[in-house]
Amino acid sequence: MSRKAIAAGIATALLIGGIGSISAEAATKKPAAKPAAKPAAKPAAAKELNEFLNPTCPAKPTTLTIASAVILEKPGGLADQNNADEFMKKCPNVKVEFIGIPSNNLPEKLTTMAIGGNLPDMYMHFTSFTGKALQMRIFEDLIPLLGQDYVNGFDPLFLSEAIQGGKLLWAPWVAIPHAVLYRKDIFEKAGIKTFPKTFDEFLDLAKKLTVDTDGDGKVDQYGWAMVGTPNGSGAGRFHTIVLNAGAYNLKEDTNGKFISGASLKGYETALQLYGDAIKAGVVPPGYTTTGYPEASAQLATGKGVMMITGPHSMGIIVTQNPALKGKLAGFPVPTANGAPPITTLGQHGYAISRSSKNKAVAVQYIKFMLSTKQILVYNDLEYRLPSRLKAQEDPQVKSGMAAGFVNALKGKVWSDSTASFLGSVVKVDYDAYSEMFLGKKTAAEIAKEADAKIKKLIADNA
Amino acid sequence: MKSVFAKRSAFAKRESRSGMIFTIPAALIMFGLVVYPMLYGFFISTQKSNLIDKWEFVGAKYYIQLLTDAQFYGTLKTTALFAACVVIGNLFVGLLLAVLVNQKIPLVNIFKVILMLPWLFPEVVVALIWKWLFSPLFGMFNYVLFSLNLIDKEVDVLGQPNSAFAGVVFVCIWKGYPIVMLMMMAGMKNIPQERFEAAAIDGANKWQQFLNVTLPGLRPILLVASILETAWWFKHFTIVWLMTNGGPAGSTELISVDIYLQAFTNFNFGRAAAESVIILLLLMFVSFIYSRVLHDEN
Amino acid sequence: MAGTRTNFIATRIATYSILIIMTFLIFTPIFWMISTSLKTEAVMFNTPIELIPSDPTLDSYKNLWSAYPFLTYLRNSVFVVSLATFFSVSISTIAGYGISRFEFRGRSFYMAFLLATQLFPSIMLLIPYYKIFKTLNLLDSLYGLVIVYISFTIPFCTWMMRGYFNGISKDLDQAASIDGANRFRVFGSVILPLAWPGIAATAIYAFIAGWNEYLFALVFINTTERKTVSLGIGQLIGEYRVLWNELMAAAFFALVPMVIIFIFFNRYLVDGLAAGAVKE
Repeated sequence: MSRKAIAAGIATALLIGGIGSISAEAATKKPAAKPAAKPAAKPAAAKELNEFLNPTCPAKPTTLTIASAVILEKPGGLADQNNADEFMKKCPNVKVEFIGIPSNNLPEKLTTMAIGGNLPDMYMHFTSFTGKALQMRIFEDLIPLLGQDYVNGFDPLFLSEAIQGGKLLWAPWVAIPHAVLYRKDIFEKAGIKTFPKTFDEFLDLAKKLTVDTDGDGKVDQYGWAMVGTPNGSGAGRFHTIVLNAGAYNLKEDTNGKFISGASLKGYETALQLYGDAIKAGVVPPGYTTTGYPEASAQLATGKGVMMITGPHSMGIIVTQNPALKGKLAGFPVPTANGAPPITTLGQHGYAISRSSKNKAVAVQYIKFMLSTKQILVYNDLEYRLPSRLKAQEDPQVKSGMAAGFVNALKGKVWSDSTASFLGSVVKVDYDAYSEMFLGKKTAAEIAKEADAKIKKLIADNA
Repeated sequence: MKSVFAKRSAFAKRESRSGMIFTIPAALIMFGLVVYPMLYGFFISTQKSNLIDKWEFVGAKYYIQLLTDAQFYGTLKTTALFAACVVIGNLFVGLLLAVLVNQKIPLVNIFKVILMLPWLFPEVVVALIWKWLFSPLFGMFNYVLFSLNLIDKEVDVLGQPNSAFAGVVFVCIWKGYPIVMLMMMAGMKNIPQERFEAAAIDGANKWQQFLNVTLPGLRPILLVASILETAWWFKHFTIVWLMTNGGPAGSTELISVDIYLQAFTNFNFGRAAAESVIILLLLMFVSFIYSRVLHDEN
Repeated sequence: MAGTRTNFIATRIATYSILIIMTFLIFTPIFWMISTSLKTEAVMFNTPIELIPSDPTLDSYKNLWSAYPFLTYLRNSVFVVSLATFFSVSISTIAGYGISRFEFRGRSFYMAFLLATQLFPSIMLLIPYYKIFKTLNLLDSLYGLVIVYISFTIPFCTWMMRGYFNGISKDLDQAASIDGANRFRVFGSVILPLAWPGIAATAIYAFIAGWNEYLFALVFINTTERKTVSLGIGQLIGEYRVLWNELMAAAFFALVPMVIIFIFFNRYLVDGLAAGAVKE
């Protein structure tokens, strides 16, 4: 009970402090910023709940520990570092310490730290971690800490994944919706003017783009840089195709029971597309070992022309091949029969540990890093789409290479189930398309087997 | 008569005490650090739990699930085949090279250093380099074959089940033979020279000397090597995961991958622990067979 | 005599052929590693592939020191692994001798127990180890990692030393104790000097096992200042992107201390003081 009171007190204090600091801290910022915000009129204040570039600093020296995967990445890590550096400038008695964990190893380290009772103040949360966070109950509900008005400033699509059981598990930061990333320059050279809307059109286009560019008799440009590795990366893209064929792998029905979508025709259709693409030779050889980094490299070198992925791949490709700046773009994923496309968010953000002793400072840090100026730094580095509605409106976000991906967000969005055994269901997906590659079974057979496997998983985990 | 027996038991007692003094430091550390985790593993294999505050006893549920799962057996089979190939390969290559560099021939010391190199690499680096070398578009393997005009279309070694299996076995042997070679080299140092001389006098050639002097002399080390190698490669994860992710279509899928999936992706520690216990028992059985077959006196 | 001479040449040819093939198989990846480390990111995936970079640069190597605290990583690894190797080999040598020479109750159980600890999938050890070390307040500590690595290497080292001691005839022990030496004297002055090849091999194993260990270092160490070389290398492998040139440069650098260690211990493997010491 007293916890709620404290939380409410903090929220109120932050609200007042937030508004007050913008105008009152004349020493740090030009008052010209937002003087009109001074009056505490609630409707007008909602708009101001985006900019917290003048945080309320704690009274005594504090160390804020943050577990992050982004800090180790290039160029994305610069965004994390920039947030910390700028925050520490504003609050010199706060030390922001990152615990850098490679994203491939995030699950084992975070889980072990959580079970060992050794979590830092804040930790990076990817949507796939949601089930575990719920089971371990390691997060602090952010709605009281951030305040409902602030929370309303998030894109509701992000919130629909981040709010579970009425609690906000993490503060969404950025998302990378799936679309088809393509080489604009190669499209122009081949005279492609329209985008495929159906699977058939997509395959035809891929065939058209699979050519021998230097006339030495060997094909060296392939239409579809498919991520065919049997892992989460590959399965995520496969599932996007499955979704756009009208099926899915796992979801909860209205009664809370899990059901398998592999028995739907769409699952078979998706497998068929994968099989047809391999047979047609539009995918670069070595597809079973082409993971995310390899497919990006294919696009960067022109070996591949199209790739199903999020906008951050553009950041990676441009870093590998700076000449491609401005020459990448995205169009919505085609669907089996021309229906409106569905995409996935692929968001991540920061959560505050329930065990943290520095929650107030953590909240200040989160609001700071989600201020428009700061969040745009990340967008500039990696083209990831911001979670805050105000930042999404910024021309930097909407124009240029990421436009196609921003539009994808306006369509339908699918959220993965939070079932704890989803990992095994994902395995069924990648085992399925791996079998399709071998060409020994038909798509119908493989879909039937996948359906049986998913049903067994549901039964085993009931 | 009586005094001899009396001396014997006093001797035995002294033996026993000395033996224990020598072995206690190791025992303390291992008991302190490894017994608890293993017992913990046994314990959680019977629980449905989040390992923090929710515990539900489910008995043998996960064991039954596993032992009636065809996919589990399939993975075990693949893992056993993989381990067998790599262990036999390592023993063969390691022994062969140890014999070769045991000779007093020019440049042998340089070769010793070169032959050890693969083992000094971290597994991630080995896996990624070889994956790249095998890549159809960007790898040296295809490049060389093309240049020698041996092929006209790219060969995707890691793309077909059989060649992928052979490929990962090859890379694991590449990485793993040096430790065996090292053990053999150390073992051979202790085979008295006289035995070789005696055999030579009896008219034995190099090959017969190898069979009748070297091999028997290496028996204790061979037993150790076989057991530990089998255990290590049965539990192997990194190189195969990074090269093929267990593909294509599960042809290189190892049991450790599934344990990781259950523990840290599915958060199903009960099942992961049950799998680990099954592996433990399986490997203990295998070790028992080995010691019978290789019939070490001790 | 002519037969032996042909035999001799045939053996030599066979030996060198095999050694040269192995050298080729070993150097090819190393060559590719060095070649990659000298390339810039832009030309990494050019086709046709460049065996020798047309525009080599040492930038990756420079970045190792400027962009990452690789020297710190190196220092940490050397510290942790040297300490762990020293203790592990010492304890195991003593234990191996004890098992080899003395019949005591529970000896087979002890050996089986040591072996069993190696048969358990290490990923399941992660959480219980973490809990133990949290209680001991040794998380995020290099000393904690030392103890972890000691526990990992003792079983193999003990088995190895025991097998090795089994190969040293017990007659030597007898002879020495008849000469009046007690148990520990026999061990220290007579048998131990003969055991150097085995100790060297065991030490090399323990050192390399610790040097390349990743999972436990990853989970136990939080602060950058305490990270080891294997963590430094692992960081360069991202989910979306691998920094190939820096990765190869780092791997190359990480090799150097190990090659030095190996060359150092190789002396003992070569000059095995055991050679010819035993009369039967």
